[in-house]
Amino acid sequence: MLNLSKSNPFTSTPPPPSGPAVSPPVVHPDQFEDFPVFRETFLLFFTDPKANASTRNFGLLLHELVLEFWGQWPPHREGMFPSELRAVVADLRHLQGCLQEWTGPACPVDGQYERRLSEVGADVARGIAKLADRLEVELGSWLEGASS
Amino acid sequence: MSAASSPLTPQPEDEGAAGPPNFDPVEWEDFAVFRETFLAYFTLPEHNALLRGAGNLLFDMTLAASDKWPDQPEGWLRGQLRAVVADLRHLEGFLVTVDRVTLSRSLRGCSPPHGDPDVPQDRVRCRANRGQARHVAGGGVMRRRWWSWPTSAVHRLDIHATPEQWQAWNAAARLSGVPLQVWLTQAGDAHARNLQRSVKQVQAAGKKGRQGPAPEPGGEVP
Repeated sequence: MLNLSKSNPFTSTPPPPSGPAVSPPVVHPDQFEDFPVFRETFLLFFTDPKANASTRNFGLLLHELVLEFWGQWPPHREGMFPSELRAVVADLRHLQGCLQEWTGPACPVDGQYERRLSEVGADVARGIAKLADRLEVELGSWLEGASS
Repeated sequence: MSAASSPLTPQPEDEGAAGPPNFDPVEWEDFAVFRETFLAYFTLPEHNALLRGAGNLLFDMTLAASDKWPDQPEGWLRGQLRAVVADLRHLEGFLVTVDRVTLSRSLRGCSPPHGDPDVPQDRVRCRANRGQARHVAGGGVMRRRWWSWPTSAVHRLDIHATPEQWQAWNAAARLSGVPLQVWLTQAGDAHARNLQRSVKQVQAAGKKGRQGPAPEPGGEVP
């Protein structure tokens, strides 16, 4: 017989953590393909080891499936390479926004060490903004060249 | 379901392809889940929008559920900064690879993917963008030891696509007209798998007598 209480969100209790909390991984740039789908700033919330590993494995599967099929979809109008660079710009903007918020006044820090860490993070956010700006300007000039 | 009616198959009336968005960093939470380098594969606008919507739903549900999981072991600020570093390293690796691949592509002539005639053929602009990619990869998270190209670009192709694979692929490409660049935008193991798969596909297409345009200029083994 179906136990309704298990599917009732008001009566169910969350399962205990499957193990010690996990931190974001150290990513070697040469192995970037092992982290293809989900942002680490998103997986950060999955501190439960089982949930974290499951989500990563789902991402890998999704990536494999897409690689099987993506050649059948329409091409980017300006070509794959400029589009890849635009995607990088968008990902940089995302990281810039994360850092600006997490190191900004909305997220108060605790102690001198965290204050220092927060300052470094804010400085890195400014550096990321400059890199994204530079790439964005060049991509703009590409478009201008195409229309002239 | 036939290929023609598959929702994953582009229909003839498909026109614009969905590209990466241009957004204000303060809106980062609207782009919280999937990497844009991954979403760039989804060029059909409806698929792209669906995945973004699913991502937003996943993010909201994750935020709602995350208090059931333990805190970050080193505290949230350190965890957040570690996550940012991991994402930057990912981008570094991605840029290094697209830079190498595009350079190797440029050695064969800088023509646009899918043979799109509307994309500029200006090699100078191609080089300018490659230079920016290298700069961004090298900035902030830079490690100069990664830069040993153009030798490394050719070397990478030697590793992941043997001369035999290249010859077979080019022969098949002449028969089918499958664009060279489609497969060169993959990297690493995925690149090798796609290349082998493309060889089989175009050979099969060639046997069926499909004819297409000639492959891009210079698309031979270095």
